[in-house]
Amino acid sequence: MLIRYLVLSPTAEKRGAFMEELFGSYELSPNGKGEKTGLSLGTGDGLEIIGAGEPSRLCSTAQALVTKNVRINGILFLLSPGDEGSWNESQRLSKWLQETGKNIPVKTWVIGKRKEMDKATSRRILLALIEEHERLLAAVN
Amino acid sequence: MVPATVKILVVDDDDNIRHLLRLAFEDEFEVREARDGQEAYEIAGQWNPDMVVSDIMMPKLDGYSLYRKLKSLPETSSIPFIFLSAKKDVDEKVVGLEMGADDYITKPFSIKELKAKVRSIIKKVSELHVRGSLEGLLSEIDLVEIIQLIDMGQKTGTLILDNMENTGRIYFEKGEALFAQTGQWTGPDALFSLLSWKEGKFRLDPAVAGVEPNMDRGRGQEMLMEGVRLLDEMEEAIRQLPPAGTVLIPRPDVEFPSDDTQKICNAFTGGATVAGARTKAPFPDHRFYPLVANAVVAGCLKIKEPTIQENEINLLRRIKAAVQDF
Repeated sequence: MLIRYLVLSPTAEKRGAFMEELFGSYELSPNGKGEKTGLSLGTGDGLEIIGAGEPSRLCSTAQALVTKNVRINGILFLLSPGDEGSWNESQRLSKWLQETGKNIPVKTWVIGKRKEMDKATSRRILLALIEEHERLLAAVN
Repeated sequence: MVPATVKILVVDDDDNIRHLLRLAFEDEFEVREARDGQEAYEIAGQWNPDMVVSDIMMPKLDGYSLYRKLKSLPETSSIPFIFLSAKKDVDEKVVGLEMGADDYITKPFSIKELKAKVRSIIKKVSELHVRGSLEGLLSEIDLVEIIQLIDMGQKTGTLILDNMENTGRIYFEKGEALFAQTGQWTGPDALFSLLSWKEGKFRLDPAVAGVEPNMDRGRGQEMLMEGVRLLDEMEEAIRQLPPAGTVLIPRPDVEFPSDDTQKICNAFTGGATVAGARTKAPFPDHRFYPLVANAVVAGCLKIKEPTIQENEINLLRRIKAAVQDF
């Protein structure tokens, strides 16, 4: 079983930094518009993190994946301080997920310079999403 | 502290065995020999040995009778005693230990093993006598040995045990356990539960506790042997259980072979792990685990296949643990 999280940000820089700090490296998608990395726990179990997003297209990217039945277990927004447009997109997506009954946790994290995204911070961000995911699953159970 | 000169009385009607034991012991201990139980009894009264190592089948007075006679006298009752016998029969060993002997060694025996046992028993008894109290860690000495030491030293007091999750106490009067309590369990159930503790600390408080006995007098050794037997049964049952974390659920429309099985199955209603059900079931561990194992074998409990969501929760836990280790 694979848990798949989608990381959205208007530019690849933050997503790349997040993945690199957590897992040391990541792969670029063939069209160069996304990234992928993850953690294998053996026998097919693990975590996959896919990165995507362009300015003003964060919400629509996530919606397109979810409506095409791509299994997404959690969504993380990595935004820059003052990026109100992306912030509003994250709010819009959360609302849409709720309205359409999709039980997918969403976390939004605001990060300034690259150096702020160190290993400890990356780990904290991922754990925050995992905990939100656990909370939602427990509520359903 | 171990006495400067440790005196060992070796009792055997076989000259070769006595000679062998003398050779083995005399570099470390002061040794005297007796050819039968009667001679040993007379020597013990005058010489006051620190330990008796005795054969069982002997002329005049056998090993069991020698043991009983020495235990009946206040001046010799606390001398540690090891039975040494050619008898391989387990029942003989049980009889020896039930009587309260400190150990039972079967011939042919390893001199190294015998000397190690003698040293260990002498050290423990000496510490008990010097301090007048006993304390330490259960990881270093198990409760069965502690109880035997208290019995040997004819101690009165309360043995207080603490394993961080729970506490327990056993009240002794002249070496005999008369009261036990841990958590909701009292009496023999509490004693048997405490015997399974592998970790934790213990301390013998010589202060006399004002408690009503909840165990029968005169059955100390019998209870201890029963406890050891139940502990073996419990460990065997644990080995038969499905892996930790497996969720079990009562099988619907099953006929329970006994009320206890039904009570055990009720603790798994809706699905529970063995650890989870343990906190709900109205049985101490030495009864709980065998009942669960029997209920599984009898088909009253079955493994509950996890739902997709439960699988997801389990996987998330594993991912979280891995991420925390980054």
